[in-house]
Amino acid sequence: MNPLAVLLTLSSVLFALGLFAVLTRRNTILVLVGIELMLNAANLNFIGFWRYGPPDPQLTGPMFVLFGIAIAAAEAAVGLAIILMVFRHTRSTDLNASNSLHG
Amino acid sequence: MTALLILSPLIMLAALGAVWKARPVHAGLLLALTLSLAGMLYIALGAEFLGLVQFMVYVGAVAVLIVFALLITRPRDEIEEIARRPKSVGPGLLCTLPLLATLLYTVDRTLPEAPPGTADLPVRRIGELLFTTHAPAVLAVAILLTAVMLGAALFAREPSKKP
Amino acid sequence: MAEALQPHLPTLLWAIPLLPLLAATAVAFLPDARGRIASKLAIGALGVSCVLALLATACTLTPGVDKPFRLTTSATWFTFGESALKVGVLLDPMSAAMIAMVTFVALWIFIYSTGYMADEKRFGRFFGFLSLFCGAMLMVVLANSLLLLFIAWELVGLASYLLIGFYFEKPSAAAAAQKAFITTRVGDMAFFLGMIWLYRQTGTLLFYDGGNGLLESAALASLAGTTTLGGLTVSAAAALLLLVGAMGKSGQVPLHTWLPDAMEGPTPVSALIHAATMVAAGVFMVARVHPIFANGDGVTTALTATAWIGGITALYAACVAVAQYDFKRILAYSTVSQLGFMMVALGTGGVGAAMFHLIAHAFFKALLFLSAGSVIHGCHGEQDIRKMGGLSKPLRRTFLAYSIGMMALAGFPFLFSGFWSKEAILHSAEIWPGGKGPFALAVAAALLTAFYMTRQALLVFFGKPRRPGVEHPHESPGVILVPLYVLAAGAVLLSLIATPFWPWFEKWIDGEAARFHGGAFGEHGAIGLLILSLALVTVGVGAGWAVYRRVSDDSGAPDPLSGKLGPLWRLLENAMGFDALYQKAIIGPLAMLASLIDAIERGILVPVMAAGETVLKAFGRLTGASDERGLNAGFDGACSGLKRRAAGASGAQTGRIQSYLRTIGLGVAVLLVLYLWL
Repeated sequence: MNPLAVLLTLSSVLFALGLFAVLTRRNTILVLVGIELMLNAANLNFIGFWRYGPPDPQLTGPMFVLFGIAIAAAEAAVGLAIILMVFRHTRSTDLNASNSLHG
Repeated sequence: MTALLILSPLIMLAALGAVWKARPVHAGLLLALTLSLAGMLYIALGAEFLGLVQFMVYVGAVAVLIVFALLITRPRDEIEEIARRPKSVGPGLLCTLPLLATLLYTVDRTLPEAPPGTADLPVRRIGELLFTTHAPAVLAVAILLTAVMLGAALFAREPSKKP
Repeated sequence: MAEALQPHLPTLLWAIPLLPLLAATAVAFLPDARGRIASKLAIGALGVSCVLALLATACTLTPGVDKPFRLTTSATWFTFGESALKVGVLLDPMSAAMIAMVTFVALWIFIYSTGYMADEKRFGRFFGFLSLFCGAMLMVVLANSLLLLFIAWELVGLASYLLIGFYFEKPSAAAAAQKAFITTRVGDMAFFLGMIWLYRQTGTLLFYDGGNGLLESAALASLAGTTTLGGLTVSAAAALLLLVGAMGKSGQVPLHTWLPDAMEGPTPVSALIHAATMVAAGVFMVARVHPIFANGDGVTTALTATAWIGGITALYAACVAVAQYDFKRILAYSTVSQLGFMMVALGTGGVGAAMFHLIAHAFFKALLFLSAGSVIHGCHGEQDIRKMGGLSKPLRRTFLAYSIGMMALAGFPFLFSGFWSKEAILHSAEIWPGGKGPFALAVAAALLTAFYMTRQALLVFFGKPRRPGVEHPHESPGVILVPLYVLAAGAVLLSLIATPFWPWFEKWIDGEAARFHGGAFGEHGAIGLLILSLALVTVGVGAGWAVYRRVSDDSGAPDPLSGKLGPLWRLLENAMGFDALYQKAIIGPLAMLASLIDAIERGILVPVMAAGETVLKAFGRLTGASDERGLNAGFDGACSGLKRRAAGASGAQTGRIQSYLRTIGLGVAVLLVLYLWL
């Protein structure tokens, strides 16, 4: 079997699962979990194409992953801080509890 | 390749659990499992450095943060234990399945035979690149992280008594 | 049999620690209600491990060969840039003795636990933790690399933390668990630093690696050849750091305070972890890296430090044990004291003697703790020995087992392993060229050991039942008693293989063949030492008998010694005030520092942030006001018209992010399908 195909399949499944979580979860933090899964799927692709692609002295794939992880950490920190703020106001982590923008 | 074939289904199962489990804390812990399995996969693919970064940042910081947040925001009433909106599963699947099908179809149709590739990720080279080619990006990330730290600290501060 | 096994040994060795670890993983996924399955799984895995361990031990019994048996493996774990981290397993007589002891003792303690913990609601979880502990402990013992040893060492610490805090609803248990974890962490930090130092100097952490290992001549020469701070060689400095790590794990003064508190855990845990195996990990580690400790000319600094710390600990803990009332706490202090004995042996060069005392101690101390558990079980949870008394009749079977353990610990002559192992340690301390200090400390400690064990036995089992005290004590069931007798048999039979006449065990550890040696007593004044040992036991037991023969029937009466010793008794009762000292000297300043930092944050950082907030708010108001006047007037007019028309369309704006997202997702899905499939 083609190892790159296995990797890409894995990352596709991860991405789809993450998207599913984002679309259906009630708990905002678990929506964040879905986002983390999607980010990991992207990282997996970068590593896969670096590993099974033509040799690249610039290491573009791994560098992208490195920055991706840094940004993901930032995103999680801010996201969780916002969720905690909202939680303080509404006493709930239900995404629908914060719908004050509705028409 | 063996490691890939062993780890891939495990990662998928763990991620499925993280997405499907009703108890939020279980889902958070399964996310941590998914992420550490992915870290192992990185190491198996030859990207030891990235694997370790994945362990330290994702498992050590992000996943732990998420589990903590889940513990702090434990719901008061049973109703919130319902994992997902019942009416959203259908539309969710409607969005997700075509996407997955398309992705898999693309992978299957357009992929050339994989070249042997390289499994060498010299840490020294990463360091050089970070401080030469990518120096501006590193600076930007540094500023971003500082801003995030300050912002998160501000957000998380107990609100003062008078609004 | 042994020859047939040889080629498969490396695989089998890995299986020994992995089986209990796998069992622990499996148990982790079982619901609490399936406790019985969990215990069967744990016992089964450990049983297989035990058989494998005994087979592996059989492979190391190659008599007549001059070179000691040693099987090592090493494999690259992962590469890091240019260097690689290697791990592997190591089987030599030392690790063979340990795996055989750990699996065997642990197996019986598991079986005992099925009876002792039968009413526990977290029964399965208990066995999961025990399995985790056993796997990690076996890994400590089999590791061929300081790194692997350290990882397993920390896992063992984690299991110990989980098990001490098993009754985490009890605040004292939760506090004891944290205390154990943090105190040992102090030692582990030193261990870690020592390990890094060794790696830097030699470039390897493997113990034996075909001439390139840490404990082989090339690395040792490099370690001894470099000097560092204060004229110490690197090997001495690193050995001292490793010693601090061992002191944390093995409860040596001054890092011992966690061990008596660890008795908050269930009794089988005290027996397995805090008496028989884990606390011996420190001793084992020093024995394993003994070549580094002994690296240098004559009596090295590291060895001297080990011997003195061991001697001080042995005497200190024996003194404190005299003045304790809690059944398990006395045994805990006696464990600390016995670990001190092992350290004395290691420091004075008697690795074989230390290992034999370790193994013998594991048997009789596990036996003592399990009998203590049986007594406590029979006394409905009472642990205060002042409230017991006269239990030898209602608990006759437990008393028999206990007395074998007690006599082995006190060093009753000839029949018991404890006598011979103590004898070997005293012998090694006596002929040590570095001075007589540790020897004198060990002799005094041995005397006190006989005394406090007599005190405990008399107070618990003899005399009349005291009032107010235990009502209707009852004997324990067979599942609790059988392990007692198995361990008791071990405590007695072990004495056969390590007498001065036939010092098989020590020779096996040192890799030599043992010969029957009838004239052993003629050498090195050994007969004098034997007489000294006999005198110590006689005096200790006699003094105990004289003081505690007639104790008042009133359980509230003070201890006979407390009047005679006065303030000294109170000092001993409080374990010489180590806890109070730490409270004052470490925890107090840390709490002050914390409140200082808090004050800085509240006094300086918060106002600064608040000021920033005010400035931003003022800016916001300013721009808001200018918007209000400059732009909005005309805009509002235009908007009011739009608003009316938009009201109808705003029904789609539910304010629910996920419904928006779903819409987007649907759009993307449709586009993708159109793009790729049509």
